[in-house]
Amino acid sequence: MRGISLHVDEGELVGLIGPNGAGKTTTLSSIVGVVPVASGSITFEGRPLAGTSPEAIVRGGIALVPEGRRIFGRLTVEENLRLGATGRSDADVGRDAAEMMERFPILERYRSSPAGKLSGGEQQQLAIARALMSRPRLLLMDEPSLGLAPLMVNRVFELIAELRSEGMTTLLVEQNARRTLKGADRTYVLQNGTLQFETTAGQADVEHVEQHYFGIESREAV
Amino acid sequence: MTTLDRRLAPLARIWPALSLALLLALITLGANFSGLAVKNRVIEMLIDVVLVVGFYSFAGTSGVLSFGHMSFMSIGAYVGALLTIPVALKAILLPSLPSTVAGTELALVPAALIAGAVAATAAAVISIPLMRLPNLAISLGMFAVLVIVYQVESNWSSVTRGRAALVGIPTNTSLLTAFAGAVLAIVLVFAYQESRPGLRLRASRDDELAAASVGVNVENERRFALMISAFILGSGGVLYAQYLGVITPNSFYLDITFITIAMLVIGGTRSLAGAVIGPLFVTALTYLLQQVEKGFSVGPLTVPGRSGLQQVGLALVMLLVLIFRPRGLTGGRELPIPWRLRSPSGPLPERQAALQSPPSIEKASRSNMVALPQAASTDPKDSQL
Amino acid sequence: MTGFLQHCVDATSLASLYALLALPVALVYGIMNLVNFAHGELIMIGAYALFLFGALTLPLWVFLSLLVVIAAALAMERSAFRPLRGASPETLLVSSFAVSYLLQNLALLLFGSRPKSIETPSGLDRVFYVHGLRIDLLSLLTVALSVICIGGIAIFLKRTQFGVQMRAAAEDFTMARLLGVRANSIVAAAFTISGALAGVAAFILVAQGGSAYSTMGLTPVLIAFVATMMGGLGSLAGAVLGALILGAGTVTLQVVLPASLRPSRDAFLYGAVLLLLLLRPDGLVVAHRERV
Repeated sequence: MRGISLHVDEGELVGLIGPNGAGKTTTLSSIVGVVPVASGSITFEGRPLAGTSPEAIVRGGIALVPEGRRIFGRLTVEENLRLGATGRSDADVGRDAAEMMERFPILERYRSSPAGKLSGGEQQQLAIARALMSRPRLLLMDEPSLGLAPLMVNRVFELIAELRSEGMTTLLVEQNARRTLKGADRTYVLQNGTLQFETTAGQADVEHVEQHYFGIESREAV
Repeated sequence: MTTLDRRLAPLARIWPALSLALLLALITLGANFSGLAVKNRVIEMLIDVVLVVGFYSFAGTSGVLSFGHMSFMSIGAYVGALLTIPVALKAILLPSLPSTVAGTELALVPAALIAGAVAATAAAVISIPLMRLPNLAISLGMFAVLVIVYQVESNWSSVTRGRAALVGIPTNTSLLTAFAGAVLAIVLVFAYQESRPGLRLRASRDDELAAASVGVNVENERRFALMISAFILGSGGVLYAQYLGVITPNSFYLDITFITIAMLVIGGTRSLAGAVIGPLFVTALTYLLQQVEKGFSVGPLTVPGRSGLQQVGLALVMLLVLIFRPRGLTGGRELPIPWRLRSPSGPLPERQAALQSPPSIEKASRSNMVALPQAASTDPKDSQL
Repeated sequence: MTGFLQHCVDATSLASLYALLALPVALVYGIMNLVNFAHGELIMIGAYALFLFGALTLPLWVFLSLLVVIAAALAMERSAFRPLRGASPETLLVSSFAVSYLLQNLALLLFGSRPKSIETPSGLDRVFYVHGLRIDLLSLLTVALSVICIGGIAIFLKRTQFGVQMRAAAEDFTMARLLGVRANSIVAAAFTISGALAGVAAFILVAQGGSAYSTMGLTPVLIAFVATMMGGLGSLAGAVLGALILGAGTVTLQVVLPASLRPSRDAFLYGAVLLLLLLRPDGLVVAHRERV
């Protein structure tokens, strides 16, 4: 990847879209410290992240909802949730877990079951809830709608909009360009490892981006 | 292409094997005119080359480092011993041998071939269940095989004399014999690794899933490789037995397992050159360590000698190689090709290609001397997200 | 009938010892993809420690030896395995083989090739007779220690937050780190447990055999490997189950084989295991299948 320069301001929902192999996941991986950065810098709240271990970065206020959910199938739903709060030492963890289960009733229902038994959409909810358990100041989401049924995709994007209205700072990586462009404050378009375009939402913009960058003929909104 | 190029091109193709044979020839020649101590050390080294090349033909080509390969050497050595010990002596040592074996007395070469065949058969049988297992389990499973063979040999006294030494093996392994064995092993393994089955197996080493998806039956290729490997190790075992004149089950157990693995790892697991350079380097290293074992003085400081230092030193070197240069001394490459054999219009040898353009998939598959391109010299870290 | 029950008693004791051997190897493998050849040498170190501290009184003697083994395990991780973290399982296996060989020969260098005899504390060789069954105290102790250790680890993994973190790391190490789980802490914990269990195993083996020698780690580690393989290379419960089966199998073979074949008992055992793996290459315990 070359020449990536992007920023996310507090409270913003910023999108990062592009086709497969464009480097979206690599971008997130380098933010959380899993992929080393060859040159340049990544700063969070004024502090540089380079060279810090993933554990330290995550404990510093960033949470990741990874591609493919990556929940721990052999652990129970509740154990998965509580793992999200690994960095925290305060007593509110229990209360937050309860709140999560209220917000995502499906988690309450399966709280003592192995998380592997949940369906894709349910696991996605768990993955998001798990990330929120750390009370992050920056939420990174990697293709949360991937592989989900349309109904679940709606639910996920509704959730992302809810989080935005609650003031959560989010960097959303997605293949679903249309929904992302519509919902985000700003969206970057990535192709072949470089940044192509930055745009703010608006119907005209969405069609423009789709036509010029993805070759999609404009259709009525789905 | 000029006439010279056309004639030299086939040489370029066999250069990896040729270069190694020439290298060994030089060393053998030098040893021939040296004292007995050096001669013996070089014979041992050449036998080690046979063993490590045999080990490489499975472990290096498939990427599965088995821990029990010496069981094949063991089987071969005992079969060879039984076939070559003079009949009269056999009657005394092993009175209950079946008459066919008891009455046979063969020369080195036929015995080695038969021993190799027996070992290969054993490999064929073992590999039927073994190759169905995941890689790690194959490595561990082979270790269990080693223990099984060791136990059988230690207890089957009527055939092997059990833990007692099996003596009276004629000592026919001369410098020339060992050299011939080493060159034959190199030629055989080179031919294998460049053949279709060999290339298929090497493809699976680098990406098992990709190879399977283009129709490579990884299990069967591994079975075949194990048989070739066992044949070489079995014959090598006979060479070894006829060098020592005496064998016990312990001759083919942990120590030699470690040394052969160390030799291949230090030399470089992924190339035939590694299987030859490894024994060369380790022989030199152990010679050095033996001097240290005897004790030496550096200026005012006298370091006392302790035996056992050799093995510790070798293990340390192996660990250092694994940490800092996991591809070994050769880095997975064959010996570099000399200028005269390089043709400007033929397939580019690896060095020139690397200098001129980034490696491409076409070049990598065509040129059998190129190890697949790697940016870093360490195994890829877990950077998957 | 008494004969059969007697064999059951013997099998239980042996199976418990095997479980103690297999569990740490499976645990370390599950977390870091490392099949630790050198675990046998940890046991060897424990035995030599028991030899060196032999003059001390019982609690101190055992306690110090245990500490030595744990320290050795942590040192092993720090120096040999941490630089290789993230390398392929094959590389890790080979390097653990090198560590194993190194330690064996270091012991040879330091202590020589003659076994060092260790006096077992008097009282440990007591034998009970219950309904005609011969039960020696050491067997009871083995079972008791095994149950305590394995039970303790199971509780630790299930009930403590750190244990949950370890289980998560065993399933997806990177993801665990991405939630804040400290890699070094997890690995250190795994090796501490390894060291502790190796120390206990060393104590039992020394009490049984009365000596320490440089190659004593070979058989235990082979048992651990085979048990782990039977369990499917990923499963702790599978490894323990494999160990129990191996223990029962060993005693069964010992009884069933004619006297002339008995010395090759292990050959038959491992041969049988290899055949078993022909039928179930993925091990006895089938891994969790996730719902899509």
